[in-house]
Amino acid sequence: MKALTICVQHLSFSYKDRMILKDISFCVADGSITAVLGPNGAGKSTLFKCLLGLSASYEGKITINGESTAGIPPERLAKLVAYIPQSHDTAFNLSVFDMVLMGTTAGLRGFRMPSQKESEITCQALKRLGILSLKDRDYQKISGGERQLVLIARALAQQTKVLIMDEPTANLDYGNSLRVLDQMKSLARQGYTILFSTHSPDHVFLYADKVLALSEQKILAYGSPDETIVSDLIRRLYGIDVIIESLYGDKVKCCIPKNAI
Amino acid sequence: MFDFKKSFSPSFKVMLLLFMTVVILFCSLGVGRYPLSLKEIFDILFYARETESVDILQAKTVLEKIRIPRVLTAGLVGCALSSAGAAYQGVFQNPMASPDILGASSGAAFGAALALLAGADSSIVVFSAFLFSLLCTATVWNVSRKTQGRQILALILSGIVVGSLFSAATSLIKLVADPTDQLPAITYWLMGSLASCGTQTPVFCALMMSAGLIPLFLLRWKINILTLGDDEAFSLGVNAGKLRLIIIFCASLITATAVSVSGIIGWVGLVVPHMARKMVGADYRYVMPASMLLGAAFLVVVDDVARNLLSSEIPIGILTSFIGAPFFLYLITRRR
Repeated sequence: MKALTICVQHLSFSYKDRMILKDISFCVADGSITAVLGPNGAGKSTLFKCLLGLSASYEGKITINGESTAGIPPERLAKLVAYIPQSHDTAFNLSVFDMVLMGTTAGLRGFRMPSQKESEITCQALKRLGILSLKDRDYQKISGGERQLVLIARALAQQTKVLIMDEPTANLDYGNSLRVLDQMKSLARQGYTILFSTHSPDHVFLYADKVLALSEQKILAYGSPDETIVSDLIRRLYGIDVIIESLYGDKVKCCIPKNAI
Repeated sequence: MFDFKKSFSPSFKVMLLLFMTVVILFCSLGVGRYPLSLKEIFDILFYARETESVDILQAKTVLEKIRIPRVLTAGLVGCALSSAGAAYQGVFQNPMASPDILGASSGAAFGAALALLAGADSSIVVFSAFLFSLLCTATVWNVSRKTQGRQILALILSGIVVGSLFSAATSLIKLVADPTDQLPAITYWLMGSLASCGTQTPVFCALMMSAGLIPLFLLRWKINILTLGDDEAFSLGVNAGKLRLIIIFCASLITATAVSVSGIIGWVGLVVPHMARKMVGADYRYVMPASMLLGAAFLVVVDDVARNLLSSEIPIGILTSFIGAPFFLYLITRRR
């Protein structure tokens, strides 16, 4: 039995009288990949914001590595969980190295600047993702897929074991999406616990150990992808009729919309 | 071709800038109606303690009573405006932010004018300028956040609106001010000039500004994190709200001090941080010191021109506008 890394108990969140999450409870096992699936507005980003301490006014309890995250200072929380945003644009043209170096900030008290030690952590993170060669490039001038890898490297430089990824494949082409997801999978094998949001049931089948289906403020289903993602769930989540096909002797599953056949 | 940008590390370039700034400060001591050579300056500063020569005594007076205060004040004001600009750009994640565009300068000018109208002394003038520049910056930032669409444009527009509101209020003060003594004093702030700086001005500047410049210098790594936005900064372990507040406080304090001794000298805070980024890259560990040094050197040079170009002195604010406005047009029209 693996240890439970993230535990969410009776989490509710409302914004200006509008309920966004209602009594959510789930736990995530150490070293696993959990996909959060759900239509736009189902509360995926709100759930992540609560986990990251960005929305503090929630009800319920969140523990990461056994530590309650409510009200703990950001530099402490940043040592528990790292956030990997969608690949984005920055206001200033920082280098890839500096971008990843920023991941080490939580360990720097007061006025301290990154030193040799932080530079080494940064180089290791870049090496681990195979992008050390991008080190001196401008973050604004690399591709979306490369940016996503840089942001993952930054999370590794943060030296936490829990990674939260907000739609890691958004705006990426087919090849880059799969490359990013492959990296995610190999990180989970190295002991990282990963929670990511996605819109693709196929990606969930290929990469996730568990799937959390969110719809209308609640958890519709939570379990292994093979058992959880059935045509009925997809209809309830997205209002689309699909057939779930099993390929290569049940090794892979995929969703095929009925309209397309 | 020799590539300056790639051949040297950013820290070496900052050292080079430091050297260049010191040289410019020294040379500027010799520039003026009464020219002094570098050798003369050195002689007067380091050896001419017990001289009886009338020429040297005269040169010594020029240097100590006029040149040194003037050059130091110009350097400090340039340093202040540029580092405030760099700080605002970082915390607002907006390369178009600067003391004048955010209305911090107009706010400070209004605060200074108000205190002058009330007949306050110079420390009250700075305090009032500081309060109003903070108020103005806060208003502009809040208004721009509530608008729809492009944030860069929203910030500039709300800065113009709030700034002109404060300018109108300043005009009102001018209207009711006593035309014999208060009005000339207020008009002087608004022109932007270093002409009336006395021997105590640089001391006062250095004391007030160090309270803002030192934290800005020490916090420069964390400004990098703020440029990523609040959510990312928080998840990287930085309390963005608190840190931004501290940095805005420091930037407003040094802007207010600069405005209270020199009036509104526009554009420096926008132009210099961009030049600094061109030289040392976007990392605030180097942008901040480079902006401080480059700002000091820039304003000292512009002030040399202001003092010597025509037979009567040109208010320095006019010259910086002639340089800054075209640069701003270039910035908003260039492609990424």
